[in-house]
Amino acid sequence: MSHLPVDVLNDFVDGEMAPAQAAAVQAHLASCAACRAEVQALRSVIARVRALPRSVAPPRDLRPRSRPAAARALPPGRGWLAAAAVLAIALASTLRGTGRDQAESAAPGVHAAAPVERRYQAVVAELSTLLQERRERLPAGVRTDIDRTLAEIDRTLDRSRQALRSAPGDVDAELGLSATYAQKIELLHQALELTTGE
Amino acid sequence: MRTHTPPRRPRLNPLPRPPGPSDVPVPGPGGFDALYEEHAGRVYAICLRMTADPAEAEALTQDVFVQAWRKLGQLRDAGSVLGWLRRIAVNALRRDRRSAARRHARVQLVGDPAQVERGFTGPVPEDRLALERAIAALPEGARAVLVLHDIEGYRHAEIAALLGITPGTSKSQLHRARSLLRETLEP
Repeated sequence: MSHLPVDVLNDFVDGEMAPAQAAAVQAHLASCAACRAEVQALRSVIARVRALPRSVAPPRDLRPRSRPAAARALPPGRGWLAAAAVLAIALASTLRGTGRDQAESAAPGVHAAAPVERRYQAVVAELSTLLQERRERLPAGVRTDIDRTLAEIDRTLDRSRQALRSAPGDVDAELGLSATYAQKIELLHQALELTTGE
Repeated sequence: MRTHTPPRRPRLNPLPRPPGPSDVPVPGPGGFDALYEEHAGRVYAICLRMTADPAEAEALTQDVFVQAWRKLGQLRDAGSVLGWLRRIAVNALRRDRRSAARRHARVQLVGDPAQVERGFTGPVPEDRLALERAIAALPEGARAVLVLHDIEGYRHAEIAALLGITPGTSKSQLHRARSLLRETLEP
């Protein structure tokens, strides 16, 4: 039976005690074998716990794999937003070189989609098709919300596209367009995730 | 797979700011794999010992790395990657505890101590297994503090912030955990 209350015992062993109090405990231990044994037993259990390995190999590969098949080729989540911005800048500098000639060789009066748009449009088309196939798996209220938000994004896309046309090669305008596409892709991702459920 | 509760309204991302020179570059697939190789064992160990449930630990570890992938652009200092991952893990555990399923169950969920063994691959020495089982048998709060303090090396102030308790509670939970372990392990 220990003379030391549990919290005193633990604080002493953990060194969480004011020096004066620790000295008092030390003095008691000098003449009390029972309490010395308690301290030893507690130190022993703590040492065993501390000796446990901090790393335990997972039984299987736990990297994220839960995305729908079409989206698995794309980096998921917000990594897209930074990547979209970097891509836009890279493509903008390409357009100032030979890329611009290709864009301008389109039939007069027809606005060729900027290279940055074409890449996103391909991704959006794939995800939209998938979502269309699985629409009925979404609750009606969520479907309406998603449709409304997609319509909002499409209006923003129109405005961004017009801004880019009136200021071709403008990096901010391209970033705006890329960012809006990234938003649309992210929303389609989220909507698809809701359809995969369990 | 886990059940998603459909949100009332899909989230819209805010428009990003363009990357600046101080930003950590978004790593390619190789970078993420390196992150996983380096830290998956540490993250899984925390999740396994805190949940005492291998299936739940696997799901939580996956969640942590999904979040890690999404938030990688926010990581500034590579030296604190592990600390950052551990915080994500503990936050994920707290959210899990508060989930609707848990509230509706209205029972104090104590892991079946024996099932924690399934979380380990390969042979484990019997005395270590006995200790892992004893930790798994602890009440949740005591177990969480023991793992964070004695295994992960957090101080009580940090544990208090991580778990949303007071440092005083953290200490008493730790002392209780150690006392219970002694009762189990000392014949």
